[in-house]
Amino acid sequence: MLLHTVNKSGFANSALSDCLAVVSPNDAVLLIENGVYGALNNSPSEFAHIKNIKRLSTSGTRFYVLQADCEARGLDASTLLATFTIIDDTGFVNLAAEATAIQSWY
Amino acid sequence: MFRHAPYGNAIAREGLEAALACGAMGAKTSVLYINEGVWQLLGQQDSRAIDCKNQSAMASALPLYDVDAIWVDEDSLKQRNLTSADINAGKTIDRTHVQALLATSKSILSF
Repeated sequence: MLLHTVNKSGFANSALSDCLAVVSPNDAVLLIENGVYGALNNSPSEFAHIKNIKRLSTSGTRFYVLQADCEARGLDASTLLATFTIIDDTGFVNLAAEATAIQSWY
Repeated sequence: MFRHAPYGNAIAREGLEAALACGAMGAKTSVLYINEGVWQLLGQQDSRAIDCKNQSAMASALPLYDVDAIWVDEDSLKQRNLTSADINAGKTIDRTHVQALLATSKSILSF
């Protein structure tokens, strides 16, 4: 299992969409720093990355978002896509330990 | 994994340096050019006027450091209207092969 971390907003940067284009069903994706905006469900229109996240989630890819970075930016859990699991730093470490390798998208 | 275009910042150059160092240290190293990274492979780069080291020339040193596995993401080329005729190194691979390459990597350095 690969752990993909994304630290740029999906609205401003291609890092998230580039990541989603090569993610495998048994991989995990963790949004950190400004990447957490990519987990928002309250966008006025259906952005391509949201569609891809939903599709990949159905095929088995796990999606996570880092709690501290959401809190810092005022993102409430209720505004996030249901496909995302909110994890803390310990969860981040556990994912990293579980992964065969980590790919950082920035 | 090279995802950034050359010259605008130091990321691409640092990636090349890391790949050369990995090769020099005897680590089994593969290089993957993907997304904006494929711009690094355009021929005819002449960076003298912007006072930068020619990264195309630097990349050509990879095989001398035993880094022979040089892969290029086909979709990234297509999206930029490039073909394998436009690039000066590497073999093109599709997304399935990219996934397999990542899945079998012990560690990934991302530049």
